Amino acid sequence: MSQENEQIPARTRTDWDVIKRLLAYLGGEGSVLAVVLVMLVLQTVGNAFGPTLIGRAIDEFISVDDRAGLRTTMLTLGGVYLVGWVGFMGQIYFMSMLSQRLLKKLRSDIFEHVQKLSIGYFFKHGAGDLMSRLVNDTSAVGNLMGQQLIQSLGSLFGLIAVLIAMFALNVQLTLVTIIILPIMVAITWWFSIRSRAAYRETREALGQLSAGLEEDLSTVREAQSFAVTEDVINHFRQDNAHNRDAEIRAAGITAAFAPIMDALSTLATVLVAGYGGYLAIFGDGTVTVGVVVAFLSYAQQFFRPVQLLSNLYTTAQSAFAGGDRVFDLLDAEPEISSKPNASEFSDVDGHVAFKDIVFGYDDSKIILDGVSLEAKPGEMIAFVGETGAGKSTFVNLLGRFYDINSGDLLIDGTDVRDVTVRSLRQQLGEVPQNSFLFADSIMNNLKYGAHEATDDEAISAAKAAMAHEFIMDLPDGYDTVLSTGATSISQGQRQLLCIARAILADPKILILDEATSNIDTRTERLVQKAIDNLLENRTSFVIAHRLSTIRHANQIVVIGKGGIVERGTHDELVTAGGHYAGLIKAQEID
Amino acid sequence: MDIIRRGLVYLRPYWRLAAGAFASMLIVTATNLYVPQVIQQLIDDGIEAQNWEGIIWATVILLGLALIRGVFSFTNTYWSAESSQGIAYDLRNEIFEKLENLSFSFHDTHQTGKLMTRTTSDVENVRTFFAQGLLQLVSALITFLGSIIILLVTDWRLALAVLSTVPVIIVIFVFLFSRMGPLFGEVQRMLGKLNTILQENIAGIRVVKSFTAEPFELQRYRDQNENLYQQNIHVARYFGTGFPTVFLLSNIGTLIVIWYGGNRVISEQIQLGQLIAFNSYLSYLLNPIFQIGGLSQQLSSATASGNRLFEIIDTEIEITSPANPIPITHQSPGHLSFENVTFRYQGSDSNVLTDISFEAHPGQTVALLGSTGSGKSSIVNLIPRFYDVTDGRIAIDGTNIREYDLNMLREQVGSCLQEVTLRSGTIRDNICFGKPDATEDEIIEAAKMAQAHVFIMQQPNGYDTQVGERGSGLSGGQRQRVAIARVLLVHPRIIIFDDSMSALDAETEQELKVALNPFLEKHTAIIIAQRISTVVSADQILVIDNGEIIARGTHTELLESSGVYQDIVRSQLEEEEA
Repeated sequence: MSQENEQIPARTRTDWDVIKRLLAYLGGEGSVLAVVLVMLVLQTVGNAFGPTLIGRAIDEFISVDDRAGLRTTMLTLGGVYLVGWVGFMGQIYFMSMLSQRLLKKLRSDIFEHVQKLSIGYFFKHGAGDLMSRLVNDTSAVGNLMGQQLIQSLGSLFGLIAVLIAMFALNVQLTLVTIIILPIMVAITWWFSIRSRAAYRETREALGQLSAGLEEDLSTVREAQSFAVTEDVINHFRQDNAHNRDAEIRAAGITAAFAPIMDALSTLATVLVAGYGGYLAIFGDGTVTVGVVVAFLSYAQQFFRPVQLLSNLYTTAQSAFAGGDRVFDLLDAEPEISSKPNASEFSDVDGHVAFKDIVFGYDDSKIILDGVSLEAKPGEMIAFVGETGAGKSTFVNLLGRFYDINSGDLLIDGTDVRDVTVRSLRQQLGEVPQNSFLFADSIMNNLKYGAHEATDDEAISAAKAAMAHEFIMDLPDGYDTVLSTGATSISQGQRQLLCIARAILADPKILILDEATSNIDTRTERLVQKAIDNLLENRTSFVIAHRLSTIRHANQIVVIGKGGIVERGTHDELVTAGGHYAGLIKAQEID
Repeated sequence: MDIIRRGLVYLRPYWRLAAGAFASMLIVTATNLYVPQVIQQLIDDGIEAQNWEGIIWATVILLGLALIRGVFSFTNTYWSAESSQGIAYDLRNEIFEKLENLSFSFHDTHQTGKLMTRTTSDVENVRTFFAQGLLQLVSALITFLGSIIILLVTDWRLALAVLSTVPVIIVIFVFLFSRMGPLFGEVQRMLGKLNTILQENIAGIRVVKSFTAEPFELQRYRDQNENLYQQNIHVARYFGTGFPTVFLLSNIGTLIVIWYGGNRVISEQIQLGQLIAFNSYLSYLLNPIFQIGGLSQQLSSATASGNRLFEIIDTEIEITSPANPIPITHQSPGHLSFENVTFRYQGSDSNVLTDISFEAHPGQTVALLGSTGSGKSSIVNLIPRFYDVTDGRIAIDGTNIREYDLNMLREQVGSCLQEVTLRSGTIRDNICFGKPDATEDEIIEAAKMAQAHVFIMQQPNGYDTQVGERGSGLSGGQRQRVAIARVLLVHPRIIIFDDSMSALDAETEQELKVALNPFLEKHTAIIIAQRISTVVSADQILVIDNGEIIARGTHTELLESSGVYQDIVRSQLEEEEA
């Protein structure tokens, strides 16, 4: 089932798969990549030739008192340094350009893809979780593609150049220098396993600490209210100590690694000095003081990139894991998309027909089993029932936020799957239950569903939604910027803005999910009046929490466990004396 | 600097470890400075002099130095990690304890997210500074000065020639590092903006989709993404010029050493080995400058973090137990009285509550009615001393609540707060929140009374069902019922319902009210509600408007005497009819 495609599985790609896909992003940047490589070569030349020239200066000129020769060599050295300088500058600049372009593209791709995924995906994966993952994973990949990539490429080039220069100078000494390498690799490998385990433990400990902390801080009022702050504090201390001990253990491993590497590279230096010295004294004369000096310098230049590369592999792990998840997301197939030959809806009358609908969010749990429902243009259909019973199901299907399993869903006689998703949704307007608004000015929020609307149109929509008055009371009026989550305006006022937004978008079919949050009676009366204005001349589907809203609905659908329990007009249902009648009785004043 | 001095106080318990780390660092620095000397001997007395024994000796010394350096750099890193983690542990505990005890007024004005940052990143910043920054700073300074001295002693003429590049390097560094903060700050700011767009988009995905605003959102995101890209390129241009130039300058230093120094070797004013050692010390000059630059960043960020931390540590806890508290227990009758209570938030000059007086006798239910913002919640928040009254007094059983032991007072005042925040864990854990040692029977009894037992038993694991963070997995109405059970379990003498049934459907609300009746008859209760139907049966109804009691009495009395009450009743009836 397509449902399965959207699931995020456990890690599916190897490191190499992730690298390959990231490299594929470099494809379009061939020219920049070429420039980067040239610059890297220039920089490497600068680095690698320096010691050689210095060695020659010592051997061939200083030792034999040749001042003129020394001058020529030094001028050459100056030239080499300048080339290295240009290469270094170019490398940083173009490499940043390359990696930033790649990141920019990756980010845009992710965002674009997220727009295509269906609501079910967000529901299943948890919006909050998805959000933090996208932010963190992309930034982990960003680090890899930025600094880490530059470092590793630079190191790799440097390593190759130094190797070439060493072999050119003296093969025996080169072999003596790199004899340490296998030991280093083995030790690095051993440590990376240990340190990965240790760091995983620190991350888990920190995760536990932060999660607990977040929860403790957001329930500090409860803790004080129940007078249990001391218990909470003691529990925090335990997590805190656990975190400290894990960190110290991990630090022990890192603390041992660096000195061992340091000692090994010193050992290489010693071997070079000892063997080089031996050759210089007892050898055939090919190894001179200059050669030994040059090798002492190369030995250091050789091991630094080796260490960098081995560190890199460890730090790159988190980026690979992040990349894996990012690509999982990019590979998730949008469950709902327009057919290739879909036609466009424009200005429907608003005649909606559900015919023999079968649907379940889960295939194993069918909610609607062969249900039909019709709304003629201008009619109001209301859904009533307990939280979690599935009142939102019909409206979720109407906007193709989910697709039906079987049956027909027709608007003006056209199957909703035969038109583009975009043109379908343009016919619908929604006032969401949570009164979601963006952290933007009120004016921009009003125009969200109708970007081409004028300010005057937006203001008259706000007036119709009974929102104009309170907006004008705000310090910046329509330019007031709403902050997310903050309580700059009340919940009821948010709802009014959502209604105004829907009025301005002017859809033929309206979905109204009543807010449950407690609004005081006065504001509620305003909201009711605004809703009345909104519903006029539109086909509407109302998810009702307050029964008073829906008395005049053309049809009231009572949803309970296992689907529709009863349906009819208010009067019919009251007369029938069923579930709805019971609800009405409970809400009436005793 | 004051901050550092205060920070050092935290180092005191770990001074042995810190001293060990410091001594290790000195030894490591000294061996580092000594190595070029050995290499010089190796070349001058060994290779140059064709002296095999000299070579052997020098290499043995080199190895010995590496071993010493290895051991002490291990102890340096490990001990400083141990001591700094200890500091972080103490700091976190102190901050957390403070935060848990700070009054509601503090938490009203501080976002949880920000406080999280204090306890995690800010502590980590301070820790990093103590673990690495401080030691590195000293080590960098010693290396830098030591190298200069050795250079000058070896050959002052050559030294001065080489050192001429150092001021230029320092100037460039200062320039780069002073730009670094603002430049990266800007990158972070832009990245933050970009992520905000993403977060809002996902949080509001339903709205985005139903208004088919995907192209608009994409454009918005792309524009900001482009801005971020441009800023990154701008930064790259800065550092792409700066750092290579520094590198070039240090290379020029080498060039000067070999050229000028080479001529001096030829003139036999210095030896070849000295020349090479000279070159090594030169490279020692550059690293410390790099480090000090980076550390100045670390220092300023640690100082900023430290400031924020101490700000919290220094915040006074407004509401505390008195010096000689009076105990209050379950035996308390629970007679509550407000006597001319006036309240305003600290720093505000307008009253939230003015001259509130009322009495609730044991077993009575007092209902508060009024519009949003009228001050109902403020009244009930004063009873468990979430806030203290500005004027007047609140008494339980005739004693001012300020004279009671704070914890005992709160145990006897149970609040079902307006916003329900459950914790992750099982449903059982959540119900037991206020009484961890409750028996199974007590828990079930409380849940049954709160009309929660039935739905809990329908959950896959009953009372052991895990709820997610903030109670996700349960509906709003279910969360509210768990929250009510949580309060009922501790059997408070005075119980407060602050609009705590708002998410229940009418039927469940009715059942809950019936089930609560026996409990309410024996306990003092304060109920806040929007709907008349919730308050009609109360012993006393207070109509609150603008922080004042404008009418009081039973439902029947108010219907006769209060115009406002009649209005409210009428408006709600109209609505039912509408």
